[in-house]
Formats: sequence, structure tokens, C-alpha cells
Amino acid sequence: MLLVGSQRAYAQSCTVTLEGSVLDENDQPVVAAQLIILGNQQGVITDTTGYFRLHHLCPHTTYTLQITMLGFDSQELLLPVGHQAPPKLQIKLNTSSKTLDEVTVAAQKESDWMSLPQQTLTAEQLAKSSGKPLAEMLKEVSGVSSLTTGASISKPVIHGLYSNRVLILNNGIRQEGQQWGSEHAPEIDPFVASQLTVIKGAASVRYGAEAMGGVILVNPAALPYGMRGSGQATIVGSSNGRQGIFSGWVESGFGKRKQWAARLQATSKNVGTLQSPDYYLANTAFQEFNFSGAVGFKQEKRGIEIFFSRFTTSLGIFRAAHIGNLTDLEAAINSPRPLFEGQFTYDIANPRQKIEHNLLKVNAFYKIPKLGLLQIQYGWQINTRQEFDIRIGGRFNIPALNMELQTHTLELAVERPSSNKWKGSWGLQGLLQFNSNVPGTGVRPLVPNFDNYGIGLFWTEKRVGDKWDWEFGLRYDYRFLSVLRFDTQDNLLNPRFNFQNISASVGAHRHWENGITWRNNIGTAWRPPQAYELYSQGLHHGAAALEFGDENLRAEQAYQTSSTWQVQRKRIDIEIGLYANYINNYIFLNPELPPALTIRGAFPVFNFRQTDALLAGVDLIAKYRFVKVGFVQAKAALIRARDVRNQRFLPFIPADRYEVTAGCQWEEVGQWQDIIAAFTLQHVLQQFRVEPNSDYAPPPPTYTLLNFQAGVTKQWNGHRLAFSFMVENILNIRYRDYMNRFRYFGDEIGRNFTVRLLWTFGQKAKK
Amino acid sequence: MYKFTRTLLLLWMVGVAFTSCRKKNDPKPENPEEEINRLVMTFTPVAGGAPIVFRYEDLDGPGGNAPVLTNPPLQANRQYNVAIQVFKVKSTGEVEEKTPEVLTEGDEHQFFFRATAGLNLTFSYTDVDKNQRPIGLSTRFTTGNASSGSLTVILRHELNKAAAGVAAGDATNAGGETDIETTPPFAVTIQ
Repeated sequence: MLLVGSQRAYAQSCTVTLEGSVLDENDQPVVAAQLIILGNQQGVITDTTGYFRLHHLCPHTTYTLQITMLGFDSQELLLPVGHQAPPKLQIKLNTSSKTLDEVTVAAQKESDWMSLPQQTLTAEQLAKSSGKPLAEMLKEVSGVSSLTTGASISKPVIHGLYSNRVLILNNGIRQEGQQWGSEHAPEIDPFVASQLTVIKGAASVRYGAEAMGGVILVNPAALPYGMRGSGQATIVGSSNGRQGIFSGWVESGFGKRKQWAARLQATSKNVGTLQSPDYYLANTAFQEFNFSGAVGFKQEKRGIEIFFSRFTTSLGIFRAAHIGNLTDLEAAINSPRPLFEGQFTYDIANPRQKIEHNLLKVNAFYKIPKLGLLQIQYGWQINTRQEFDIRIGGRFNIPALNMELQTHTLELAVERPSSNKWKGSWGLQGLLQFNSNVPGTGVRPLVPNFDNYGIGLFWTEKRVGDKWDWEFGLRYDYRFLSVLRFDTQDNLLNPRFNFQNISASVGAHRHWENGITWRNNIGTAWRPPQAYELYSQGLHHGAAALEFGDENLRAEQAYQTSSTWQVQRKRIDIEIGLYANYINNYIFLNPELPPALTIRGAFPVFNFRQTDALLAGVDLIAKYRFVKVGFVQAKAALIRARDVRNQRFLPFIPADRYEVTAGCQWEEVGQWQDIIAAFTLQHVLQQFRVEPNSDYAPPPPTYTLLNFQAGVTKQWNGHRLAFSFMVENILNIRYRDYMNRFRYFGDEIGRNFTVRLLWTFGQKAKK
Repeated sequence: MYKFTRTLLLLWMVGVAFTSCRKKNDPKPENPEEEINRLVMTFTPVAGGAPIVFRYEDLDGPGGNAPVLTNPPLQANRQYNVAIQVFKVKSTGEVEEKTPEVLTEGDEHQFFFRATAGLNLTFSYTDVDKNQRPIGLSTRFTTGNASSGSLTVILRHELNKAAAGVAAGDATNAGGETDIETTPPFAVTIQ
């Protein structure tokens, strides 16, 4: 063990509690095992069910935990305690022998809202899909799918909700881009994250408006205080689109007592024209360049960190999907091949998007005796989005859409010192946001200029009981929206809106010592209408539709309940999650007759309307391990969604999705570690639950894909090299997906070989 | 403690300062330059005589009021030289002619004319782009015996001008994106 980090374990300010259980190889509880934190000699003994609890741990500290029991090999376990409640540990002891297997930590990092279903993708899991867009990586989580626009734009969908109904917290700051657009992907470099957590459910109480479908937490690793230098380089190459992705970071603690730490990170991505089994998808190349840097100072009682990140991308929009009017759309649908066929190139032509997102974050904490832990976090985001269209009169390089969105967020939170099993926090969140259209586009702006102000007050309490853990939350939000827009006669108008809301949430969470966890939650969430929904006016290019906002829209109000059973045993892991989400005043685009007659032809008219929606579903994930190295994993996600006011199906709901993975996994073979080889079968049904004649073309048929992946890791003094190989769509199946907005125009991408090389060096290379 | 509180306070002030620096100028309306809202088709009899003018206008853009069409009757069994002009009429009433923009990018544009069955009206192109392919800003229309039907004028952009039938005026294989498709079509009477 290289890290004995039992720093500063003074009891008063250290309030984190760790719980877990100690089991033997047959999953039987180990009674009276002794657990000692090396350094401060705090120790406990497991009870008759193998269960233990360690109190008064300090946040942001890495402990070394020693587990000893007569007749078993003693273990030492490195225990990084984050800022939040640490995961429940499941420690397995081996009966005494000379073999020194590693302690299995079969635990998941949990967020501070434990009664909601959630799943975390660890650095190891993320490495398997590194280089993919954020939304595609998140599809690993059961119940998460993606809404795509061609092959280059992908947005996460949680339990059937997306865009403004899913909140992304990028390094703790709510990501504010132009997320209303279904063709606007989140402006985040997934390489920044060392873990991605998806909270599936209404988490408005803690995170504010828009957290209706769920919350995605993009968390970088903690800064390496007290550590020496480390670094990582990743190279990813893919055959489809001849992609090359390079990413890396370096970090180190510094200063006399290494109370300072810093990290630098950068990613570059270059993707050429993507290819379906039969043809190139014209103009689907894209490029990305991102970097971030962080520096921090931390003492026992206070600390401050500054983080800056910049995301830039330039991406082509599938050329065949750019159409003039309904006649063109019909021609595209009736043509078996796209009407524009491309060749391979890294060049990007119109239509294209150019996006930049800058984030500056400053956060500080201060431990105040009696009051608790005070945390302050400020974020400043500038998002610029330029969309270049196919235009006449040499206007190719004049953006047709050019917007700048500035957002300031401020959060003040106080974590009360825990008393009598109760643990609470309260705080305040502020938002100042300004959207402006850069003049000179020669096109009427799709979204008007606006100022948006928000303030939220929240209070959460948690009661840690012997059997049940309870969570309660209450929140008040106020939003003010001031819009500057032009009517059709070019008169400047300044409508103003006030919205306020109270959200509440109650949850219960129980863990049995035999590895069963039960999470239950009832909560509310809300979302004020966006400027786009209020004032969209005119032609949405590429969608061949006229869209009209409605300034009488009211805020959406969601009521949600979920119940999740989780069983973790030696051979089997099962998680079944049930949920229901009732959304009052659900805002959607409703097609309305008659179509509008224009000089460009006929266009269908869509108006923003409100209804009551009910979304309910099941997420299932099960893993079975056999003959030591074999495993089978099955996943299923089913959603049913209805417009209950009009007794209709809701459009754009993911179809039923099943996935089976089977393979072998060895922890160590000779000098090689983490060896894996597995096949995955993905089966996506046709979406039958659509209203007849509500779409230009029927939903695409059921498809099945076969994928393969293999990987191996090698460690030597101070270095770790992980190599993996992946083939997606091995059979080169021709298919289309209902959740791709460009499904009318072309097939999804064909077979794709990917090679990944991940080299870690320095202190973090030694696990 | 005080020092720390001061730091926090300073941070907040910086935040407020950022927001107050913002320019508060009112936005100016955009002039949607490419939104062609008037199409004029002038039929000049080859044999001489007063020109007949077809006009399609939708000044308030997509949605709103229905387009306004003028289409006087054509004479039977005549030949007409037809010139097409396109305009953008601004909300201020100022008129900008957009025909030169189409002409400059002639190799990327082509007009098509679709007459309903029963209307005795045929056309042929009389202009060419730099690749010797038709544009359709100038055409010759020939009327047959008295009849009536409708005529749709289509302008395609970034089409495949080399595709089969396109040079002869058949849009079936042209692809591309529609910039103009007069909807509703002109109601043509040949008398």
C-alpha cells in the first residue's frame, strides 16, 4: 500500500459515516471481524450479520482500512472518502491461505440522494467506451437511451425525457447551453470525467428546475492533494469515419505539505465522413478540441479550487437531411438511398454547426464550528453557437443562427454537523442568464433575446436509521424571464414572466445485510417554459416544419415515484427499477391542420401545446457469474408514455430495448490483468406505440446488433497500459432507429472497429 | 475567518460585475434577405403584343395571411418568351431584386414548371449556366388549344443538374432542396 493518508482525523469537523459488511467467500457474514483505520486507530467490530459502521470520517481524505479476523487473510483497503456519503462497502475475506487475492469492493459510489435509482460509470467502465460522445457512453446505464440527429449529434434520454427535462451537472455546475434544441448535443468533453452518475428520477429538490427526467453528474477526479505526479494518455482509433482521438491529463500535488494540487487536461477528436453499410453519409465529419485546467488549495478547515474548461467543436450535418419543403421530404423518404451521397473526407461543408463552451468555476469550502461545512460555488459559462446553412447569394460563411448565452450560477450550501442520526443541508442557488442573438445573420432568430433570473432555496434532511434511511427535501424556486422579441411587423416587444414553484421529495432506503437494497422515492419537479417554447416563430430548417410558440404556456409540474430493488450476491447481481412520472402541463409540439402554403411549398404547422403526460416503465439489469471467469449480463428498458388528456401516445419515446452480454473475465493471468472478452447482442423493437398517420414515415422496424469487445491491462513499475479492441455492428446490419431525427434520410452507421490504448503513469498507475 | 469571508464576498462582487458590464442595447430586427416573397413571371408574346404578367406574393412570410396570386389568361396557340424575376419585399416596403443572386449561382439553381394534365402548355429552356445546362430564368412557353389547369413554378438549389431528364425540365431525378414551390399553384386559363 502506498498511501497512508490518515490525515487530520479530528472528530469535531469530520462527520462522514461509512457502512458496509464483511463476508466470506460463500457470502456468509463474518462475525466479529475487526476493522481498524490505520493512523488514528479508530476501530469497530462487525455484528452478527457482518455489518459495521465507522463514524466521524473526514471528507476529502484517503484512509487505509485494515480488516482482520482469525482464520482469514487480513486485508488492507484504501478508502478515499469524498465529500459525500461514501458507498456502502462489501468486503470479502478469504480463508487463510497463501493466495493474496485483492479485496473485492463490490460497491457503487452513490450521490447524496440515495433513495432515487441511480447508476455510476466508473473510470474503468468509461475507459471501455472512451472517445464516444457523452450520450452514447451513458447508454451503458439501463433506462438511458439517446436522441440522435444523424450520426454526429447525440443527446441523453432518461426514462423517455430529454433536452430541457434532463439536467446535466458538469463538475457541479448546471450545464447551460442551447439545450432546448433536439439537434444540440451537450457541450461536454467526457474525458474530463472520472465518473458519470445518472440519477434516474425527479431530483429537482436538490438540483433545481429541469431535473425532471433525471440528472447526469459529470464528475472529474478529486485533485491529487498530498500525492505525487501522475498522468494519462489515451489514443482511440476507429475505422468508421477513420477517427482519431487523443486525450490526456497530468496532475500533481505540490507545495511544502502538498496542500496544493493542479491538473491539466486536453482532448482532440477528428472524425471523417461516417459510413453506413451501403454508402457514405455525406457531410458527417466533425472535429473537437477541448481543454481544462484546475488548481486547488486545501487545508483541514478550508479550501478553494478554480476550474476552467473550454469545449470547441465544428460538425457537419448529414447533407441528405437538409430539405426545402414537404415535397423534398417525400422524395427523400421514397428514395431507397440518400439523394446526396458523399465520399470520404475530413472536410466539413454546410450545413454545419460551430460551437464553443467555456466554463469557469470557483468553489470553496469552510468549516464553521456549530454551523457546519459551508460550501460556495460560482460558475460562469459562455456558450456560443453558430449554425451555417445552405444559402444563396454567397452567404455560406454567414451563420444563419448565431447566439451567445451567458450564464452565472452561484450556490451556497451548508452541511449541518450530524446529530442523532440526522444529517442535513440547506442552501441557496442563484442563476443569471442572458441570451443574445448576434446581429447580421440575415435570418429571423429562432429564439429571441432574453434575460433569465432564478433563485432557489433548498433544505434536505437525512435520517440514518438502523434499518431504514429516510430522506426529506423541500425547495422553493423563483424565475423571472424578460424577452426582447420582434413581431411579424418588426415591432420590438418586451414580454415578462414570473414563475414560482415549491418542490418536495420523500425517500426511504433500506439495506439488508444479505446484499439487498430497496430504494423508494416520491417527489415533484418542475420546469418553466423556455423562450423557444414561448416565442418560436417560423420555419425550423432541416425539420421542414413551421413551429409556433405560445406565450400562454404555463410551467410543467411533474409528480414522480420510483421503487428499486437491488440484490448483490456472490454470483448474481439484479436490479429492477419501476417508475411512474405524471407531468401536468407537459409541453410538446402538436401537428395542426391545415398545412401552411408558402412560396417555398407546403409546410406542416406545429404549435406548442400543453397536455398531461404519464410516463411509466421498468429498467432491469441482471448479471450472473459462473465457473469463476464466465459472466452473462442482461438489460432491459421498457417505457410506456401516454398523453392522458387526449388519450394518445406521445411521440419520440424510445422503443423497448434488450441487451445481453456474455463473456469471460480474468483478474490476472500471468503478467496480465483485467482480461476481458465479451459479445453483446442489442435488440431494439420497432416503436409500435405511435398514433397512426402522425409521422411522415412509419417507425423503423426491429433490429438486432452484434458487438464484440476485448481488453487487457499490463502493469510495471510506475506504468499501467490498458489495451482494448471493439467491433460494433459486426454483421454490418442495415438499420434505422426511431430515436434518430434523420431516420427518414439515411441508415445508421455500419461496422466499426475501434482500438483503444490507455497509458497511465506516476502515482495513479499503481492501484 | 474574516479574510475568508472577504474572499467570498469579493467573488460574488466579481460575479455581479460581470453581469452589469453587459451591453443593454436593444436588438435590431434581422432582414431575412433570402426569404423571397414575390415571384414575377412575364409572358411576352413572340409575335408581339402586350406582355402578360403572373405574380405570386406572400409578404408576411410563412404562416399568417395566405399568398396572393395574379394570373391573367394566356392566348391559345401562341409562343411566349418568359422571364422570371424574384424579389424580397422588406417590412419597410423597400424592394430588393434577388434574380441576380440566382443567376450568379446559376450552376447550382434550376427552375422547373409543372403543368397539370389537360393544360395545353409546354416549355423549353432558353438560357444556360457556365456548364451549358439550363437555369430557367428565361424560357419559351408554347400554348395549345383552349384549356385550363394549374402551373407550379419550382426553384431547386444544389441539385444534380447532370441527372437524367433534368436538362429537359423533369425534376424527378434532380434531388436538391426546394427554394421556391408556388403553393397554391397558378390557376392558368388558355383561351
